[in-house]
This record gives sequence, structure tokens and C-alpha cells, in this order.
Amino acid sequence: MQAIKIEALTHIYSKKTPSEKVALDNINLVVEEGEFVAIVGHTGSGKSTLVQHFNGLIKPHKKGKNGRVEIYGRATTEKKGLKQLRFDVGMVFQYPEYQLFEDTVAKDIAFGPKNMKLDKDEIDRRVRKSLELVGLPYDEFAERSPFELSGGEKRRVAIAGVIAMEPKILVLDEPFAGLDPEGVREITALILKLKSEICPTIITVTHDMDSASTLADRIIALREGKIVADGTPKEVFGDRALIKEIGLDVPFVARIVDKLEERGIVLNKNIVTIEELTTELERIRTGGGDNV
Amino acid sequence: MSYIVFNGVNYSYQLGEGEKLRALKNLSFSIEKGSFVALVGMNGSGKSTLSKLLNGLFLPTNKSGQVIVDGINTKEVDEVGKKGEKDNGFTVFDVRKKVGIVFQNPDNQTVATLVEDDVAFGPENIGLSREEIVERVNSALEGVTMTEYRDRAVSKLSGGQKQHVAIAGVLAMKPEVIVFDESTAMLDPIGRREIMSIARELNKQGITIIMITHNMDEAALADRIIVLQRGEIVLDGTPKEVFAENVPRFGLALPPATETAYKLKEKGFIFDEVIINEDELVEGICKQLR
Repeated sequence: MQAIKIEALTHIYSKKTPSEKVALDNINLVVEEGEFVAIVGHTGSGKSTLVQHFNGLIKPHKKGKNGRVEIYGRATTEKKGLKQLRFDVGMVFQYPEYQLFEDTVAKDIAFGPKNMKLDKDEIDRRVRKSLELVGLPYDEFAERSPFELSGGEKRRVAIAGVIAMEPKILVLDEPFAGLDPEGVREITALILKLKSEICPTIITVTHDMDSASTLADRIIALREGKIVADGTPKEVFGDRALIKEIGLDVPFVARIVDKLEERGIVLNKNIVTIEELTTELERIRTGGGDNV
Repeated sequence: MSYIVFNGVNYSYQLGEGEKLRALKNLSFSIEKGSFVALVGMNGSGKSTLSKLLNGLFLPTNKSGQVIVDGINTKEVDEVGKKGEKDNGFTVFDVRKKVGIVFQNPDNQTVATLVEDDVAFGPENIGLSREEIVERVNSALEGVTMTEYRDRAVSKLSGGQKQHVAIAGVLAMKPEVIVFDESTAMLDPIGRREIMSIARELNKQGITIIMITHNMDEAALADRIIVLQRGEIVLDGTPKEVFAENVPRFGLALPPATETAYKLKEKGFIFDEVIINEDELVEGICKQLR
């Protein structure tokens, strides 16, 4: 089933002014339900503008002059569907913990569902379930102030607030930024859990090629508002000429593969994980290799 | 020569009625002039508290604890506007001039609209002459390669460029020490690399650098790594010494090259030394496969 379908989408900021900027340039894209997509590209490549179209924060022109965005078959320009759209597509912005504002964790998580005019029992059920899902026991955390929690806990509360809307598509903008390594491990595990249990389609926006290549099963690279690469991590990062042309960083493992090649040890360019790298090197060391 | 000395420093936050959070516990160490030190540890380990003690923003909360910066005890300087009270001729500004801090968020460290006005803010506040201010702003902007942006609006710059401006603002005070408190955390990879290269360049010019970071590749570039856990120093040594230890048990990661070398060791590879960067890893692998 198509979760997201985008046709011929163009978006221009400050149109007809001296600071006019084409942020998206004729984007065509389909994301199937169940995919884990990482959208990568430099600052200013159009990543944020693109994801803001997913839940209708930015909409194309009503008559489709600058393209069309459909979420589960419904155009984001349909006035009637806006409420459902905001439920269906959950957005976790960069540093979401900065957006916590209520005096208790439970109230903060209840904010979205309350705005959606759900009844009290339903709100309560959702707050409990969301806290459970992000691994913060209700009895221990519900009545605490979000501001006295650790960085990783705050981020989980912020994610819980989005999960409480029970989205079908979860969009996370730089979910690991500013976390310590323990926090990165926690949030990684949480995202995978959410994907398998409640929200089948995950889209992350990131600068970090290592997390993109190890977590996602599809990489979409943007440059100057255009999609310049789209494929599995192996396909996208395996094509070094393309990566160089679009000016992306390569993941750590790919850098090692390239440096070894310069020294005459030739490995498969499709290797993206440390596990694959060490297995391949072991094979060569024990004589099964075909290095030149 | 030790430029910064911590002697038995405690720092506690007052949480409420009789409730305290002990952020730093009996901390003693010193930092040599001209060194490049990385300070690492999980969130909540006390890194940022420590950085605020370095320039007198915080004072040790125990009686016997002392922080000495270039011979000045931060407890014995006059507070702002109370010059002469403690009778040793120094104010807290004298400490802050020596130790500058660059913080994490590029969006809340600037005060003026234009780049050059922002950089001039510190020097203006300490009452320097117009010529001296202009001179300092020029050389600070040059030091971070932002001269061509001097008359731009700060708000129109990228996150990385804003951090350059924040560093220039610190440089204009001619500090002896610059603390980078997770200053690269909110930047993209290019921004990160630029900040690291500026930090190394400033270190070459003799400025002592204290780099607080979660990025172990950045920590591996330092001469010395101090690992904090729950307010105490648990490891202190060169990157090779520190990454030879079981660092993940302190909630940290290893640099990817170090992690890869450990995995290769399990598969029978032998490395003569602890691997801390990509070039060493490649070199070590080549030796064994040719």
C-alpha cells in the first residue's frame, strides 16, 4: 500500500522577491507502507521542506499547479482530511525536547490527543500506552516535571507525545542529534520497536551517513531540491562516483574500503556495516580472498 | 606548567527542601598550558558543570574546594560591581577573560544583529579603546575565516557559521583557554570538521583547548582524554590509553576504527598498538594482508 505519493512537486520560497529560492524542484516519490527511509543531503538541500509536505504543514497549490502530495491516497490539500492527516503523520522535529512545555509528563503527552478532542478515557489510555511504548513506566513518570528528566528521557517523552496521536507514518528529523552514545542506543532501539509494533513506516532526516546506512532500508538523497539518488544503502553508497558527484559523505565503513583499495586490498564496494567489513577481511586473511 | 588546577572540588545543585544533586565529587586534577584536552562522559556525568567552574560562573560548593586559574582562586575574586572587596586586585572578569566558553546551541550565543557588532560585544564591555576593539574584531574574524561575513546579519548564517561567530566573540577577549561545550553537537558533518580544525589551529597558536564532546572521533584528536562518570574522573590519559580500556562500561562508544580493530582481533588479526583512527586501522590491516 502506498503510504506517501508525491507527483511533480515544486516549492519556491519568497516567490517573486530578490530572495526567491527553489527548495523543491519537480519531486516524484512513492513510499510504500512498511519502508524505513532515510532522507539525506546537505543543509539547504530541501529535506525539511519535503517532509513538511508529508503532514500538510506546507501544501501544494489547491489546483495542483505545483504538484500533488497524497497520504494513503488522500491529497493533503483536501480541507476535510486535515485532522486525519495530522493524526496519520507524526512529526518529531529536531531537538523535540525543547518543545516540552507542560508541568507534568502526562499533561505534555496528552496535549496532542486533547487538541484532537478525544474523550478523557481515550486520552488517558493513549498517554499510558505511549509512555509504555517509549519505555518510561507510567507510575514512575506521569506526574514528574519533564524538565527534571535526563536528555534521553526528555526525548522519549517528546516522542511519546507524537506516538499518542497513533500515527501510521513517523517522521524523525535528526533523531540522534546531541545525544550521548547511550542515548543513541536507546533511541535506535525505540525507533525499531515503534516500527515493528505500531507505526510501520519510518522516515528519518539525517546528516549522519553511518546511522542512515545501518538503520534504513532505503536512502533518498536530495541536492538543490532534486532527488539525486534513491536505492538501498548498498546501491546508493556503493556507487562512489555518484556519491562524489552529489557531494555526500560516505559512511565510515565505505571510507575504510576505499583507503584499503588505495593500498591494493580490493573489497566489495557494497559493504556498509562493520560486521560485513570484518567478515570480508577475515576471508581474505585466511586465504579465501581474491585480493590483487 | 599547570594553568588550571582543581583541588577537591564538590559541586551540588540545590533541588528543593534539603534535596541536593551532587554533580561533582571531590574532583582534583590539573590542566597544562597549551594542551588539548577532551572531556567525555554520559549526559549527567558533570561535564558542563565542570566547564562552568572553569571560568567562575560556578564556584565549588564545599569550603575546601578550590579552582585555580592562572594562579587566581575563583573563590577569592571580587564579584561584578564589588571591586576591591576581597582585596586581591582581581574580579571575576579577570578569570572570564582567561577562559572563554563556546556553547552548544548556535542560536543562543549571539547578542547583536551584525556579525562584527556581535564579536565587538565582549571587548566593548571591558571598556577597551575604539582602536583596540577594531583591531581585536579584525583578528578574531580572521582567526575563524569569517572576515567576508563581517557586515552580514547573524540570523542569516548557517548553524556552523554562527558557531564561527561565537568562537570569534570568545577570541576577541584574547583568552588563554577556550572550552568547547558540545559546540559541534548541533552541526552537520562539514560544520563539525570546520570547528575541529579551528580548535586545532588555535591550539597550535598556544591556546589551551578543552573539548567537551560525545563524538569519540573528535575526542581521539586530543592529547589527553578525561572520562567523567557521576561526577568523578574514572579514566584520564592519552587517547590510546583511554581507548585501550573498556570505555563502553561508562556509557560511551569507541571510535568506529577502534571498534573495528577489536572485532578484527576476535577474528585473529593482531595489532601492535591500540587503534584510534582510520589511518592506523588501514595501516594495521595492510601489514597483515600483504
